[in-house]
Amino acid sequence: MEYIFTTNNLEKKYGNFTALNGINMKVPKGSIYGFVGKNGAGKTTLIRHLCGLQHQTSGSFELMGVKDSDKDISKARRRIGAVVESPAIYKDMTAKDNLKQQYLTLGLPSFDGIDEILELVGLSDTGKKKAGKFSLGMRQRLGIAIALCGNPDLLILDEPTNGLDPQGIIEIRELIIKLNREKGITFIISSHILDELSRIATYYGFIDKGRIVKEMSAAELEKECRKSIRMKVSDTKVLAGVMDKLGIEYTIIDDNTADIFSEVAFSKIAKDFEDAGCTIYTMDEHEESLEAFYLSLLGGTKNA
Amino acid sequence: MLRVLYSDLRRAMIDRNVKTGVVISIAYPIILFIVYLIIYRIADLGMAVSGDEVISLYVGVSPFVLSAIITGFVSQEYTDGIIRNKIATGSTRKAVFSSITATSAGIAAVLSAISSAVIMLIVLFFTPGFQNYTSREIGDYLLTMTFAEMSIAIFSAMLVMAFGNYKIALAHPLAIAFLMKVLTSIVADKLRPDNGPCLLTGTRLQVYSFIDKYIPYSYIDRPSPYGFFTLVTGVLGLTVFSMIVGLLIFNKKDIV
Repeated sequence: MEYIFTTNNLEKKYGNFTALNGINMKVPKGSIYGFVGKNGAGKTTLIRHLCGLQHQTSGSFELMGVKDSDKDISKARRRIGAVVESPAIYKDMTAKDNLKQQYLTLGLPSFDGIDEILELVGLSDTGKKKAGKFSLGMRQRLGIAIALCGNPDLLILDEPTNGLDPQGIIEIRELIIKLNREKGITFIISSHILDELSRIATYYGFIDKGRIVKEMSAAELEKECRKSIRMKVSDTKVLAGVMDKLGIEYTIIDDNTADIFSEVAFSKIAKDFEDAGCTIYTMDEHEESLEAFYLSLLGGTKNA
Repeated sequence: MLRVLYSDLRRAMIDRNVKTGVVISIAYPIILFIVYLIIYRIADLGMAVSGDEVISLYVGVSPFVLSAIITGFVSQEYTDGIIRNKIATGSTRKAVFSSITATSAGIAAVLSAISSAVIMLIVLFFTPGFQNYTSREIGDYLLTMTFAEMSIAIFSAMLVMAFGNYKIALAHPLAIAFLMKVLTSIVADKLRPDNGPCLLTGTRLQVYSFIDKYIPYSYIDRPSPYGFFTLVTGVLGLTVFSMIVGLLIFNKKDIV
C-alpha cells in the first residue's frame, strides 16, 4: 500500500504535558482517513505538525515521500490543502477574490479553474458578497474551495462539520465523497463526531492521549462493529458467569445490559439463566456503533 | 517569496486598516491646519501659519498612526488564519515573514507619501512658505521621515509576527511608539535645551546621543541636525535588527 503521510515516533511536549506521545500513523494514498479522538487527544496538534505550524520535540514524519527535515518539505506542502480549525479567509474579499489570493500565494500562472472550484463547492452565485457576511457553512465551503486551489493531492480538514447545521453537514459530506471519487484526493479528516465520520471514511486512525490506539480500514472496522444481541437482564454479573461457562463473547454495557456476539438458542440460554437465578427482560438484535468500538479501544469492558 | 509578496500587496490595497490609514494621512494634516488657523485667529497673532509649523503637523503622530495601522493589518493575518494557511500550503516561514514586513514598509511609504503631499499642498497654497528651512532641507526631512516610518513599520510588523499568538502583543507596537516618543523628547530636550548649553557628559551623553542619532523614532519630530548618512544608518539598523530578531523568533515559534 502506498502512503501519502507517515509519522515515526512523533512526540510533542509542552513543558511537562505530552501532547503527542510517540505517534506512528500511516495514511494510505487515495483514502478518506478518519482521524478519530476526543477533544484534547492530539488530533489538531498532529495536523499542525503536518502543516508545518508546529515543531516536534522528537521523531519525524514523511509527507509524500519527503522527510520533514528535508528542505523540500515546503514544496511537498504546496500539494496539500488545509482547513485547520477555522477556514482561512479574507473577510473583506468576495469568494472569487479569496481564491485569486490563494492562486497568487501558490504562484499559479493564471486564474483558470476558479469558477470551476466555486461551482464545485456551491459558491458560484455569491457575486460581490464579502466573505465576512457568509454563513458558517458558506465559510466552511469557501475554506475548502481555497484548499482546493492548485489541485492538491491531500486535503486536511480539521473538524470540518463543527458548528454546521444538518444541511451544511450533508453538503460537506457529499463534497468530500465527490472530490475523493472524482479527483482521487486523499483526505485526512479529524473529528470527534464518529457517526458523521463513519459515513465517509475509508480508513481510520484512533488517537487517545497523544497515541495512535489503532489504525484500520473501514472494512476491518465493519467486521469489528458486528451485529450482536443486546440483553437486558436482572444482573450482568450472573450473565458474565453464564457466558464464560458457555464460551460466548460478550460486552457488559451496565449493571443490567450486555451485548453477546454469538448466535444462541433462546431456550438453552433461558434455561441456563433460570438455573443461575437471573431473569432475562429483553433480547434484541443490535449493531455495535463506532462509538462503542471507540470506547472499547480506550479500555472499555469488552471481554472475549 | 515574490508570489507571497504579490498576494500581500494585493491584499493591502483593499485592506480596511490601510484604507483607514490613507484617510487619516489626508484628513489629519488638513484638520490640524484648520485648528491652527482658528487658534491664530482667536489669539489675534497678526501673522499667518508658516510652512515650518505645518510640516510637523502630521509627523508627530505618524508613529502612533502607523503602529496602529500595521498592528491591525498584520494581526488580521493571524486572526483570519491567513499566516497559518500560507505556511500549510508550502510558503516558507522566511518568505511569509519577509513578505509581511516588506508589505508593511510599503504601506508606511505610501502613507508617508500621501501625508507629505497633503502637507506640501497646504504649505504651497495656504501659507507664505518655509522660513527656517531650505527646499533641500525639507526634501531631506521628508525622505528621512519616510525611511524612518518604513523602519518603524517593519519593527511593528515584527512585534506582531513574533508575538502574535498573544493578544497582549497587539498593544506592543503602540506602547513602544508611545514610550519612544516620550524618551526621544526627553533626549532632545537634554541634548538641545531651549535655555543654556547641554549639561550632559560622559556615558550619559554618549547614550543620549546614540538614541538621538540612531533611533528612527527620534527622526520624526523635526528636521534632524545629523547628516543623511547617520539617519540612514539608524533606519537600516532598526530594519536589520527587526528582520534578524523577527526571523529567529518566527522560525522557531509554534503558530496557533
